[in-house]
Amino acid sequence: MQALFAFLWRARLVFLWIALQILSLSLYISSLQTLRERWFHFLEVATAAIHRVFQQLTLPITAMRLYQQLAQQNAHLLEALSYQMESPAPLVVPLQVWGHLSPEKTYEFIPVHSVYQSLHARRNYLLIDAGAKAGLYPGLCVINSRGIVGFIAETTATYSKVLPLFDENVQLAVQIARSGYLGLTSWKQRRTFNEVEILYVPLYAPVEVGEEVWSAPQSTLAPGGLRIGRIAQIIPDPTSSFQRLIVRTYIDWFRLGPLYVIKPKAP
Amino acid sequence: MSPYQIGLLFLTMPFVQYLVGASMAIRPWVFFEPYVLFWLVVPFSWAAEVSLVVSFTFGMVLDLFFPPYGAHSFSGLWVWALRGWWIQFVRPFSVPDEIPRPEKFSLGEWTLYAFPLCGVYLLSYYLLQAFSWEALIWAILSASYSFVGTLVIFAIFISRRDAK
Repeated sequence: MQALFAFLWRARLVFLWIALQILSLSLYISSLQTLRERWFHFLEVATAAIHRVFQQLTLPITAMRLYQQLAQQNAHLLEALSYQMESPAPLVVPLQVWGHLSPEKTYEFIPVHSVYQSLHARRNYLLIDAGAKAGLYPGLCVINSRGIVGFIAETTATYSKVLPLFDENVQLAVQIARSGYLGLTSWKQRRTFNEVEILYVPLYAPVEVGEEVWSAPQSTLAPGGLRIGRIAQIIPDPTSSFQRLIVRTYIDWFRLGPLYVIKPKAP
Repeated sequence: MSPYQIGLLFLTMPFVQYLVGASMAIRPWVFFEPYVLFWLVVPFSWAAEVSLVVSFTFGMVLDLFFPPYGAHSFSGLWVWALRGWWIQFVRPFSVPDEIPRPEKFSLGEWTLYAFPLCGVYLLSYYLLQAFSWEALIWAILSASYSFVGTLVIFAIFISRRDAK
């Protein structure tokens, strides 16, 4: 430490000279508008280049981590399949709906049918042929074999009203499957069926077209890990520091098929 | 040089530049900027830190008069940094412990000492603002023109009688 101080003291003149030069250059750069803009542009380009190099360097590590995650998921799935083979009665479980099967949480899959659904409305809904008598209540998640359809909003004794993702009042917390970044679905601005917007994904999040989107574990509406769709378009919005993602949903609103209500099993 | 002479130069050079520099410029190419003289004659006998801070302050004063801010102090610090090294080539056979005294230089020595440093100053000053071949040529021409002014002021006001 003493040697360091001795060195700093010996080189004090050089450091003072460098400090004064930096001060002069800073004054010069800040006093010229064009130079300031060029400087910021240079900083942006340099930051982007560093980020790109860093991404390329970490790509093998990311791939390895993804491979390990997939191996773990595969193990979970195999474990779940083995349980089902041991179950006494045949149970129809739409396994492909799960992005990440969590064996700790068990759910009932109650098969239901659609009796009515609205088309081309801002607030779409779906009526299903099961209600309170079948043990349903508002807040439960409705799926088909491809992904999330919506959530039960109201129930009668024999019918339930389901609000789908294609309703301007429904917003679901989701995550990018690969990177885990969170977002929120929205159908307010872009009312195209079988597509939802994902808002509030940070601008720096590494997102690519084709990546899968799941329901987030933090969601209070749906269990985490249910598949929703794949990213079709990325719209960066630098003014808000977020990017909007257009997600093509797995479910087809005009071809729903058999539906299931996911209900947590009583402990 | 005595501190009061340096103080006088500190105050008068920006005014001289302000009053004379603009009228003597061959616009829009060649500018007359003899105030580089100040950095050249700051005594070597002063503590290096003091001399550095005084030189920087002079640059800042010039920046106040002639924006863009920071350009004069930036270029002046280069002259300050290089003059100690360059003066060894001007008087290579002087005793190493002897403190150089630019005011005792002959006109030939002064030319050898001041002209390259004047060039360094104006090259740095111009190229900082516009990096182009035109700016390079203007900088060299302006440096030559400004050196003539520096030489005249040196010969009349600064050069000592016992100069070699």
